[in-house]
Amino acid sequence: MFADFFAGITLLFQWSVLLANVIGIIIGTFIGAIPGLGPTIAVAILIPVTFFLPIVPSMMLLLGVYQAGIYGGSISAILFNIPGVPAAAATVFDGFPMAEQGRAGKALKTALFASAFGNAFSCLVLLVVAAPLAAVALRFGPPEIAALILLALTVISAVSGQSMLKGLLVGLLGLLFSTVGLDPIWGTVRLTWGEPELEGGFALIPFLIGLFAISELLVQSGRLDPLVVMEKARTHESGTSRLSKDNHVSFLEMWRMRGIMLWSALIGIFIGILPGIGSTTPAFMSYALARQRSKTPEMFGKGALEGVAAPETANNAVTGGALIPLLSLGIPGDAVTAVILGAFMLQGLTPGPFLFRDHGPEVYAILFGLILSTIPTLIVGLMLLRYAVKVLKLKRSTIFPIVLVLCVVGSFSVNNSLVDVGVMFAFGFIGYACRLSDYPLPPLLIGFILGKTFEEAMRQSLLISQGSLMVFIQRPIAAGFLILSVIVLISSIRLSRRMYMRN
Amino acid sequence: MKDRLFATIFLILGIVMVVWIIPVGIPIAFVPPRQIGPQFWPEVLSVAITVVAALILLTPVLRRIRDRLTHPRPSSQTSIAEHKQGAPAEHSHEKRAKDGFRRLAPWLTIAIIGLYFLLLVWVGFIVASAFALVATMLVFGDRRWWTIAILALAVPFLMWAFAVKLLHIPIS
Repeated sequence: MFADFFAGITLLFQWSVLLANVIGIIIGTFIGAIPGLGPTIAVAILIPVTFFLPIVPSMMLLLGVYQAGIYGGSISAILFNIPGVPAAAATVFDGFPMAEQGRAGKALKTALFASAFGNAFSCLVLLVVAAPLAAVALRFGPPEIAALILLALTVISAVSGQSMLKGLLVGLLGLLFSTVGLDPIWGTVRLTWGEPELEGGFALIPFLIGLFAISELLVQSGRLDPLVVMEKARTHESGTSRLSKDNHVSFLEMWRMRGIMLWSALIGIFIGILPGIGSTTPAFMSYALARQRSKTPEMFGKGALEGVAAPETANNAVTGGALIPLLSLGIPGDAVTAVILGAFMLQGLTPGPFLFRDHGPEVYAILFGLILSTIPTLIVGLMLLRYAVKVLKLKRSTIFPIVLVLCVVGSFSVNNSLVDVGVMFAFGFIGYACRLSDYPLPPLLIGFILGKTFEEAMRQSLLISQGSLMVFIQRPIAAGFLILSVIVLISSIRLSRRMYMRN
Repeated sequence: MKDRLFATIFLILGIVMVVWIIPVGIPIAFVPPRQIGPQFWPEVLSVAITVVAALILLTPVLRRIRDRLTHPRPSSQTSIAEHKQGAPAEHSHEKRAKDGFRRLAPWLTIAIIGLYFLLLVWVGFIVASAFALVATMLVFGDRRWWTIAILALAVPFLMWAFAVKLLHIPIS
C-alpha cells in the first residue's frame, strides 16, 4: 500500500497534471455558473479529450470540473438569486441577501473557501476509507456483488424523485437497456437486430450524453422564460457592481465557523456515500443545522455568513463521499460519478475492489491530487470571480446549439461511429420524455451502468448453486444486503404513504 | 397525466418485449438443465416493467377509491367555484402565439436533431453542423443574423479542426 502511495505521488508531480487540473477548474467554474449546464454535462462532453491524455492528468481534468462545477453554481445563486446547479439552491437563502447588501464578494469568497474545505476534507476521508473498504470488498463473491448492486439500485430508486414506483420503473428500464449485446454467460447476441456495432451493448458515453445533455437541450428549448439569470446579468444590475463593496473574508471569520463547517462536511460525506441522493439534500440539511446551532438564528435569510458556508461545505463534501462507493465498490452514487465511472473505464481502469490492487499508484495519485487541487481551486476561484459573471451574459441561444455540436463530437469519438451518435439522440429523446413526465434520470443511468455486472453476478451465483436462489440467503453478507434492500423498500413505501396522507 | 402516459407506454413496451421482441431478437441457445438462458433476464425485466407500470397506473385509481370511501365527495358547486377561481386569466393574442411557439419548440428541436443525424450521414459533419446551429439558434429565439452566420461558419469548422487535426478523431 505504501509503495503504491509513494509511486502515486511521483506520478502526481508533473506539469501536465497541474495544467489539466487548472483547466478543469476553470471550465467547471464557468459551466457550473450557467444554469441548465452543470458538472454532469461538462464532464460528459469533455471525456473525448481525455482519450489522448495519460490516466492521471485526464482524471484530474474531469475531477477538477466536477469539484469546481458545484462551486460555480453558487456564483449565479449569490449574484442573481438563481442557483447554477441544484446543489446551490440552499446558498441562495443568505448569499443573495448578502449580494443585495453589497457584500457579494464576501459571500462568493466564503462560498469558495467553504467549498475548498468541503472538497479537501471529504477527499481526505476518501483517501483513508476507500482502500480498506475495497480490501473488504475483495472478499465478495458473485452472490454478495449481486446483492450489493440490488441494494444500491433499491436505494437509488427509492430516493430519486418523488415516487418510488417511478424510480423503480426507470431503474428496470436501465437494466433492460444493459441487456443489449452479448449474453455474459453463453455469448449469445441479444437484441442487436443485426447491428454488429451493438454487440458490445450501448456505449456508455453516448448513452449518458444523450440522457443528460440532449434532454437538457430539449427542456431549455421549451422554456417560456428566457433564462432569467442571463437576462438579469445582461439587463439588470450588473453582477460585477455587487462585487465592489465589503469583499474581505478574514481567517478569523472562517475559523469561527469551523464547527458548523465540520458538521456540514460530515453530512455531505455521509449523504454522498448513499447512492442517489445527490448534493442538494445535504446542502439543505446543513443549512438547517447551521441555523439551529447559531447564536443568531434570526439573521438567517438576511445574509448570515454561516448560511453560505454550511451548504457550500456540504454540497462540495458530497464529491469525496460519492467517490468512496465508486472507487471501492464500483457503484456510482449519482449522475456525475456515473459519468466519471465511464471515464475511468475508458482509461482501462474499472472502479471496484480490484482498482486499488491493480492500479494502486494511479489511484493514489488521483486521490492525493484531489486533496492538493484545493490550492489551485482557491487561486483560480479568486481570479475568476469577476470573469464568471461575464459568462452569465452569454445567451442561451448561443450556448445550447454549440453544446449540441459538442455532443455529436463527443459521442462519435468513442468508437468513431455514427451509430453512437444515433444512440445518443435516441437516449436524448428518452431522457426528455422522462423529464417531461417527472421520472428521475439517475436510476435509469445507474441501472444501465450496473446492469451487466448485476446480471453476470446473479447468473454466476446461480451457476454455483445449480440454479438455487438459496445461495443469496445462505451467505451472511449477501443476506445482509438483501435484508437492507427490503428495509429500504418498506421504509420508502411507508414514507410515501405518510406523505400522501399528510397532503 | 404525462406520467401516466409514460407508464402506459412502458406497460405496452413490457408486453411487446415478452410477446414479440425477446422471442425474435434473442435466439434460443442450448442451456444445460437447471440453468437460465439468454432470454431469461430480459424477460424478467420486461415482466417487472409491466407490473410496475401497471402499479403506477393503478395507484391513483386505488387512492381515489379509498378517498371516496373515507371522505365525503365535495359538492359540484364548490368544485366549479374553485375551478373558476383557479382559471388562468385571458392571455393576449401575442402572448398566446409566443406560448404556442415555445410549446412547439422541443418538437421542432427533435425534428432538427433527426434531420441533423440524417445530414451527418449524407453530407458530413461540417455542413450538417452548420445547419443544426442555424436551425437550433432560430428555435431558441435568436434573430441576430450576423451572430448566427458567424457561429454557423466558425463553430463546425473549429470543432472539425479540433477533432480531426488535434485529437485525430476522423469526423468528416
